[in-house]
Order: sequence, then structure tokens, then C-alpha cells
Amino acid sequence: MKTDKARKNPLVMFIHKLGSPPWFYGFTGKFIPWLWAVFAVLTIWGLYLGLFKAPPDYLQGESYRIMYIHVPAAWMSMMIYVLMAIMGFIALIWRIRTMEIMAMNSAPIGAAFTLIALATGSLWGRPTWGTYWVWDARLTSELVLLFLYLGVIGLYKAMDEPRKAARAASLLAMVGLVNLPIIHFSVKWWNTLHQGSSISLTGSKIDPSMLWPLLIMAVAMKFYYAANLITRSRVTLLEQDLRKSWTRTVAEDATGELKS
Amino acid sequence: MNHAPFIWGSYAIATIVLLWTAVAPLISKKTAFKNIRTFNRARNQSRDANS
Repeated sequence: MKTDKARKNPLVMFIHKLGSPPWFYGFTGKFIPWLWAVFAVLTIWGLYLGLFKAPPDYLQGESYRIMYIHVPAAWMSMMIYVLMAIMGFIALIWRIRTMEIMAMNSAPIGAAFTLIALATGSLWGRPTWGTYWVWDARLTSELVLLFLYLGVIGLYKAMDEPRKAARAASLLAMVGLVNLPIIHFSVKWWNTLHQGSSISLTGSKIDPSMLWPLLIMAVAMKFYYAANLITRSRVTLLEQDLRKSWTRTVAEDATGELKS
Repeated sequence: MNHAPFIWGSYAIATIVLLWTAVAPLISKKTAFKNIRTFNRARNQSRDANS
């Protein structure tokens, strides 16, 4: 009785469908162009406002404009890690292959954002602090995050059997979650060179003319992640299901599209 | 201090990293399609040879 009810639940049905590789491939493919389009529009808008319209900062001058890529990248590096761990947890408990694939494909995107956050932070640090790098708690814990991402990628690639590899790497991702509160609270727990948070759930210390471009860029990066994750996950499905009939149909359709 | 090299340097790094992260799966997709076609061609050939 309970099972029948669960079967009729649209959310449960959707999750079940999501577990089917051919359905996942077809369904998610429709969203990719739209996600990239929204990302492009928001990025152009955000960068225009941030780089050309927002006034210079009274203390930092023009260098604060690095914020429009540094802060969204740093936020994304942490958000993606949390999502990767959640998807890894779901994959471990319910053994949903598409979730394993999405968790594992989050890692290179998260690593890319972490790398951007570290590199742009370093370039921002030179004119602001007078140094490219300092071993303070925020910078070091963000570097540890990059190593965690690389660890997840490395562990996943090190094993021949992708499902076993995904489970092992998911476990590592979950263990690594302990680093996220350290990154977030590092500026409060320790005396760091890195400034404290200017934006919180209760308000912001940033002027609206500078804040809006930042928020637009932060939303744009979420669309980038979604588009990239779906693209990567679809490719992984093709690679893993090379011998299955549905991939042959997809490959034939793709060839037909190219020829026509 | 001139801040322009730091600002444009940051955006250049971000563009390169984000572009590569976006393009890499498209290259893999091409390879995956090629492998699928090669596999199916080989399977069809062996099927024809057996029949």
C-alpha cells in the first residue's frame, strides 16, 4: 500500500526516472543551451556593471574589481563541494548511478573554481596586502579544499571499476566536508590577513552599486556549474554505456544531425 | 601602484580556466561518439562474418 503510494508520488517517480541513463541523457540535454545562454547573459551584465559602472573603492581603488570573479568563485568552490558530498551520500545509500556520475563530475568543476579563487585572491593580495601569498587560515584552508578536490578526482581515476571508484571517492568527499566550516569561520576563529565576511544572511556592508554586480555574477556561476555538470555527466554516461544500445541510437542521431 | 595588470590578469586566468573546463567535456564527447561508432561497426562486422 505504502509502495503504491510512493510509486504515484511525482517526486519519487522523477527520482526513479533520473536513475535511468537514457532518460537522464535525453531529459537533461534540453536544458543545456538555455543554461549556457542564461550564464552568458548574466556574466556580460554582471561584468559590465562591475567593471565599468560600479565606482572605485575609497580604500582599495580599482583593485577591488577582482572581487567580481574572486568572491563568486570562492562561494562556488564551497557550494560545489557540499553538493558533491550530498550527491555522493545519495549515491552511497541508494546506489543511483547518475548520482555517482554527477558527484564525480562536480569535482573537476569545483577544483577549477577553487583554483580561480586562489589565483585571483593571490593577484588581489599583491596590491592590497603587499604579498601574493601568506599562510593564513583562510588561504591555507582553501588550498586544502583544492587538494581535497584533487584527491577525489585522483581516487576516482585510480580504480578501473567506475562504480567502486565513485563510492570510494564519495566517501572521501564526505570526510572532506569537515574542511568547509574551517574555511568559513577561519576569519573569525583566527587572526587572519584575509578580511571577514562583508555579506551575510542578515545584510551587507557593501554599497548596492557594488553589491548587485557581485550577486549577478554569483548567480551566473551557478548556471555555469549546472550547464557544465550536465554536459560532463552526459559524456560520462556515453563513455560508460559504450556497449549499450541506447548509446548507439544517440551516436547515430548525432551523426545524422551533423550530416543534415 | 597600477592595478590594471592584477585586475585583467585575474579575469584572464578565470576565463582560461572556465573555458577549458567547459570545452574539455565537448572534446571527450566527440571521442565517446567515435568510440561508440567504432564499437558498433566492429560488432556488426563480426555478426555479418558469423552469419
